[in-house]
Amino acid sequence: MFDINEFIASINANAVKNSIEVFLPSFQRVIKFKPVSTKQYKDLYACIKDNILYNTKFIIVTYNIIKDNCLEPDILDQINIIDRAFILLALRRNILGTTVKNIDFNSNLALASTIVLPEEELLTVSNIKISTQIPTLKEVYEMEVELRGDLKEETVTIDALTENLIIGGCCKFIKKIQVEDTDLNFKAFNYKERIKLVESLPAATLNSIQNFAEKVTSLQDNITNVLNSNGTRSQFYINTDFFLAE
Amino acid sequence: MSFKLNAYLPSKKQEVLINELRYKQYRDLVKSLHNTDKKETILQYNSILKDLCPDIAEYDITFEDKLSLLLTIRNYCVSPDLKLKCNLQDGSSYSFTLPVENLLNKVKSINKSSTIVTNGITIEYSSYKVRDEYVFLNNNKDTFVNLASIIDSIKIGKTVVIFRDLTLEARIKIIQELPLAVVKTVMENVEKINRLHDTELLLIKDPNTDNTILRFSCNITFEILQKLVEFLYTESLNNIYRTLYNVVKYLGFSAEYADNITPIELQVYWMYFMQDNAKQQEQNNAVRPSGGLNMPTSTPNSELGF
Repeated sequence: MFDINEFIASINANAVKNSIEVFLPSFQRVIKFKPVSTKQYKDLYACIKDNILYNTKFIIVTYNIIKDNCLEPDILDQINIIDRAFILLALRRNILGTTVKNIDFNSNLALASTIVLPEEELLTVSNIKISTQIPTLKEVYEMEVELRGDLKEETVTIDALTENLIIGGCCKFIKKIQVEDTDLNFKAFNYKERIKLVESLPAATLNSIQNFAEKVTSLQDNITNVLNSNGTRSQFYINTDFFLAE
Repeated sequence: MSFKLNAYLPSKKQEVLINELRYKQYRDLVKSLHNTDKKETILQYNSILKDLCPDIAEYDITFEDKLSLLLTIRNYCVSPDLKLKCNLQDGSSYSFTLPVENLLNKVKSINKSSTIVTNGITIEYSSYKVRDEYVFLNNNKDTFVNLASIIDSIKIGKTVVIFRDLTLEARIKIIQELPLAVVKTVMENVEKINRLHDTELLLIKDPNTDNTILRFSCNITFEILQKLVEFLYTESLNNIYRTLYNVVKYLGFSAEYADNITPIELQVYWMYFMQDNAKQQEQNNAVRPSGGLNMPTSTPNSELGF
């Protein structure tokens, strides 16, 4: 009797054989990923109605795609958001090509091997020491799941929203906090607790974290910035639309 | 002894033998169109087709194949002409007549079968399958359902899966696991073939304004199939019952015999009867100019109306 799971295993084996090679800056080597399946693309479609500010659904769906398709599952937790950008560019190229709304991002994929990632920084403000990091894919995913995973639409004031974006954003860039040489074991806290902790930090500390965050976001912007043939530059964004529009 | 007809299955490029449609089956087909449960109607048509053409059990027949069988039966067993009454914008009506043979020839030329080899996967596909017809009842336009119906088989390495052996759910599950790039290639090719078939299967224009009243393309969708079946087999139920009544009462046929010959044969017998009656009328008129044999007043017309 025909076993559907056996056939699905054949599809999977074929996908491994036809895997996509992506050079990831933080590993300085090529990592292989299976192409996006039809079911996964359907999940991407479901992200059309998403949280505009946080892209919660998109972050969750793309994390699951990268997790399921990465042929080296052991490295998954170390993949950062810069690596993620290159993975998503490569997966998109495999599905729809490299043109998005008349912008061709093909040459941007090559940036992966030349890009220089910002070094970890140790920020010291009075007796507080903060080590920074490029957020990992897993942390960004876990944060969204914990804070907005229920996908409920909440009404918040602009001030509260700005605060959430800044403080929440800073949280992702913190690797370690030491107060008078005592490690607070920052990553042991959940994200709601981390936000509370960051809120209580001196404003100067937040500014320094934001400076580091800006280096990373400007790097992300470079990955999605294209030099057109007429010399002008165009910016595109890696969001749901990126995977649906040709 | 009944004749066997040759019918053509466009998706298989194969001829099959089909039995003549008996009057009882014709009556069932016509009655079935009046059924409010459209799933029942579809099942009834497919069941009669299986009785008439047992060979189709071997094949995974498509909408085009079904239409070809129904057109063949309609052409040879009911009437070679398709008469449609169209209501025009100015309130008048227009009778449109088309030889069924014309439609049949166009349906026979539809060829949507193709094979794609990409990323080590071979996919054979053709067109919507009759076994999935009821799935499209609720205006189901889901891409996965469409693909699950049109794909015939998928081969990866030495493993082949034949879609006709699987449930719709299992077929959809397999499609969802396929790499999107592969499915996209299939979809692009299907669209390309559909564009090639976007020619007129049936076109009716207003004779006064030349505006199109009705256009069916050779891309036989569920909606087009249902409409054409309706056009081919709609008949007044009164006419259907009156016919049986007339042939039993005036021709002296047993109801069982009338039920077991084709509608077109009934038509022929009725024509002979009407001719004899006309002759008799003439003779009677010659002998006695006024009065004479009463014609069967219950007869709807000189033909049985199919």
